[in-house]
Amino acid sequence: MVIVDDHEDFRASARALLEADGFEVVGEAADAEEALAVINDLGPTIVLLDIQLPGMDGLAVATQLALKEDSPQVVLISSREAASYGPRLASVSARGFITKSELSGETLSKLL
Amino acid sequence: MRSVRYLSMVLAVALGIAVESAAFDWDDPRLWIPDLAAGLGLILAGMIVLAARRQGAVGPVTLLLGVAWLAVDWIGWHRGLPSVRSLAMVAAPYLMPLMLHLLALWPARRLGSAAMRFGVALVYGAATVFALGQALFRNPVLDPRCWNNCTDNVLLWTHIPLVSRLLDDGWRLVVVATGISCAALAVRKLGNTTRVRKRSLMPVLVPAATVALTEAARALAQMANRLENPADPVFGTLFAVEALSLVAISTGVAAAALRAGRVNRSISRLAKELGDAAAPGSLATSLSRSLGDPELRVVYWLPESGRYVDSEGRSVEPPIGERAVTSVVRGGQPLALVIHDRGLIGADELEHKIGAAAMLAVDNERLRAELLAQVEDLKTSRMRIVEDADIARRRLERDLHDGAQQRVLALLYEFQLAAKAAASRSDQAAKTFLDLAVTDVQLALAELRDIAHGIYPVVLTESGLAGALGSLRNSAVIPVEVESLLDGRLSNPIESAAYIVAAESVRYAAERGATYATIHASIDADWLALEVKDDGLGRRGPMIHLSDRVGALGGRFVADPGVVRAELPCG
Repeated sequence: MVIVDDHEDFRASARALLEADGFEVVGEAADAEEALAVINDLGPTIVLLDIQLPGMDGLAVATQLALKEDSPQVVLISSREAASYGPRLASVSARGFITKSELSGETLSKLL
Repeated sequence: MRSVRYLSMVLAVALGIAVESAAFDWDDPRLWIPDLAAGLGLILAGMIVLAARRQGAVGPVTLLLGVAWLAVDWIGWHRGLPSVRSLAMVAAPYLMPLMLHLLALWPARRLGSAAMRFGVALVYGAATVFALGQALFRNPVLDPRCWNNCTDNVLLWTHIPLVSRLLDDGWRLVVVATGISCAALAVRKLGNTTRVRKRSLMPVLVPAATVALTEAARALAQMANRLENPADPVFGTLFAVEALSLVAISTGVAAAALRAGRVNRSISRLAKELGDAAAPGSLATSLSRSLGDPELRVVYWLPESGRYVDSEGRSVEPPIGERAVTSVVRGGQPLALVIHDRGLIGADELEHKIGAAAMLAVDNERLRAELLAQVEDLKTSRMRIVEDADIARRRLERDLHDGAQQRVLALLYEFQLAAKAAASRSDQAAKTFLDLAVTDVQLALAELRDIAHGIYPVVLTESGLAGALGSLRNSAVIPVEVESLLDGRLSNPIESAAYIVAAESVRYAAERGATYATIHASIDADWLALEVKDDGLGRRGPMIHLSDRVGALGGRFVADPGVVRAELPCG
């Protein structure tokens, strides 16, 4: 799994939480460009992708990843509710959406 | 009218005698046509100025110039009345002081400085001394230098050749000095004025200076012992130049008088129009009509804010370009600028006319423009306050998201990890405590999220008003039906205001026990119309904050029982 979020503290906490639930976190990225590079290098099967990224946002990254041949499963996350993103969220090819407060190995497994 | 009749008589006499005199050389039109045209032209121009009752002494001076010019013909009136010939000899020398007088006057009504008045009086005095001296002490029969009248002088007292010669020589010096002074005066007047003003001065000043210099040249030729003789090419040329210059003067004077009369009538009409109607912008409209300049504009100076505004109070840049700009000034303080066609009227003249006729209208319009400018400033400031508040709210929401929410999230994950660790240690008490903590933190996060959403709904940025209204339908505590006919995005302040009106109206509806609400949004003719209906009980409050927000953006807001309507400009 690769965790993409611009908050370093969040990435560290989420990594610890998900690893405790049995997920293997192979990499992290702080923005869209770094995310695309890391995912390309490491080829993870799951990408935990924050929507609110500096520059290109997570929805745009998910759209690009969906174009890849061996595209990973993308789970979008945000501190805000899904309704905040309106119809754009529904138009993106992703496995699902989890608010960060609901994030756990269990909720993630249910989506995958 | 009496003066006009009197002058008509003078004209008739002048005409008759001049024609009679000219009849002696009737066979040479090169002499009598310019001669008669110059004299009669000046008399006619003087009469036009007098009839218009304008320009002070210009009328009489021009008329007398014509008489002085024709006097030379009367002097040479063979077989004419000796008394007329003798009086004409007295009148003819006044051509020079009259020319200096006209030059000094033009285009004003009166002579300016005391020095100027003294100079003109001096030349008049010299001409009088010369004319009377020659009349009293010169017997033309005994004068070897006589040329056009060698027989008659009914005013002769006694012939004193020395006095006559001294007066003759002295007068020639005066003529030369006056000629040079006239030319210098014309150059100075033309040099100290604007390009527009110069165009109106030149038609009179240039030929007047030419006449004066021609007279000086004639005097110099005479001083060189050259005998006055129309057949002499030098005197012939001087005569032709002088006659044509006098025709030009009469044309310039008459044209200026006619033009001044036309402008005066226009300005009088303008003053009446401005007095009758004080409609906004009437000053510019009336001036435009009076001067025949459809592109004429008036802008007003606001000293407190140091800028120009139009009649509607909108800020405008001071004009730079081909069009003439006339300042309307009172007490040294600028009031307004009139931007008009350069060719229509001189800036000085327009300033003078406006000062006399329309100063009250200028004042009124400037005050009104100032008031409108202040209203415009208030509107802009109000709009800026709303926009700044929206920006601040968006920043605050972002700060909450990036700061507090992230820290609480980290805390949540740590509690979750601690709960898992407690479970793995079979520490049930700790696990129970930590599970409770996790629940509390999740509630705190949900509340924080609601607060952030209330401060600024991010969905507006993400999806625009249409998306935000859809989101409102999903998050409202009562069923909400949304009918949005919106396509595309609107400006941030408009989207924010419309969303807040909708969200607040739905919230009020729920508080008043409504079981549903409907939201209708559409755009018609650059206006966004938003309507929220509900079945709640009781009257709504005034919803002042919503009314203020909509009003600040130039919109309209109405809150009636069961329905809220907001209209916002979005063009």
